[in-house]
Amino acid sequence: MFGKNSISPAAPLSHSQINEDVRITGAITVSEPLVMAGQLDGDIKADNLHILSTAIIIGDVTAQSVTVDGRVIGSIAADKVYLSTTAHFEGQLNCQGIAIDNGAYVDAKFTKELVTNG
Amino acid sequence: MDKLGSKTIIGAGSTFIGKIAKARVIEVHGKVNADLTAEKVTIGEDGHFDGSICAELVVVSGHYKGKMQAGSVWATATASISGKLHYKTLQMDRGAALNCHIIHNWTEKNAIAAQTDKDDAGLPLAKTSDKAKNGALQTSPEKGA
Amino acid sequence: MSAKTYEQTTSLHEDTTYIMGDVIMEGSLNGGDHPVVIDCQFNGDITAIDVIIREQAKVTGAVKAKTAVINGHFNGNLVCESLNVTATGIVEGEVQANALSIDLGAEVIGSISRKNTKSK
Repeated sequence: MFGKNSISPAAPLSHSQINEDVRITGAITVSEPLVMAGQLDGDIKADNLHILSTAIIIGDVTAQSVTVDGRVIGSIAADKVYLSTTAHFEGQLNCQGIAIDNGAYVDAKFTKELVTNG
Repeated sequence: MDKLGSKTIIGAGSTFIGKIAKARVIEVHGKVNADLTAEKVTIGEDGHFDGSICAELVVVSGHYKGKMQAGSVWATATASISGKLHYKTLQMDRGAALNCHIIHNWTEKNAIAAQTDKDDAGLPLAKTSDKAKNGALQTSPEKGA
Repeated sequence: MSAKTYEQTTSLHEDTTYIMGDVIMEGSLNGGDHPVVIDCQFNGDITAIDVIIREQAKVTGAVKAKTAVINGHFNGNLVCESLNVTATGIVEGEVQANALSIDLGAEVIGSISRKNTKSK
């Protein structure tokens, strides 16, 4: 069971950050919290992931918890997913807990399967 | 949350066609085309009900068409009932329009008892008051007046 | 809670359709110009401006509304402009909504797409 505030849009202790003018083609794997503000054409695997409003990710996202303020086209597999007002998500959403704020653009297929932490 | 208890209200302007089961108290202000078994049914002034109702208490202020089997029926001044009406007690306010077949609800037991007494005497059952006046009409053993 | 807010705004107005209790309704319901609040089992279609599915409710079928608030169980096809699934809500099936909000705790299984992309 989650409390209402267990997912908050505030960035966790950001150990890694990818700035907004960075463009990456390829895969990103981190085993620590990641704040993503840049553009990624590929997959991303992280622990706690915060996708900022300037970020554009085209690919698959796998994480324990994801906060999306930006654009994700592809799939998200996570335990907890939070799509904020500025989020834009298209694709598959596989998660245990989901929260979506009014205003988010969502065009998704929802499934609920246990995510094994990569 | 349960301010209304288990009351079902079909608001004015709503339309429902289908089946209703296990209703207890239902108020119809819109159009309903359904068969219904309930405890208490109220058809509001703007309500239209098409279908059969089997209930203990029915208060009709609107339109009803169908077969109604009820214990107690109250047709108010704006009521309009057509079809068939089986009732145990009926109150009709001045102004109510009843264009239906109205049957006072004889239970099977009463119907059989009436039939049996008729056969015994060969004559219809006399009323107690009549009996008192005209002793000659005493045809069947009854509790004396 | 969103459900309470809705209750306050659409307070026991005479024209709101309330379907509560142990009732089981099957068929098609058109709420007219007024909200529809469902607190029971309903199988079939609902077309209304506002649809509120309460926590104990179980609605199966097709729902077309302008705004929908789901606190209970919904299974089927939902087309609306604005959707709010609260923490106790369970939505299964296909949803088409333009404005969307899902509270933490809600269960969504199926697909959510935008209403504009599909022609009505």
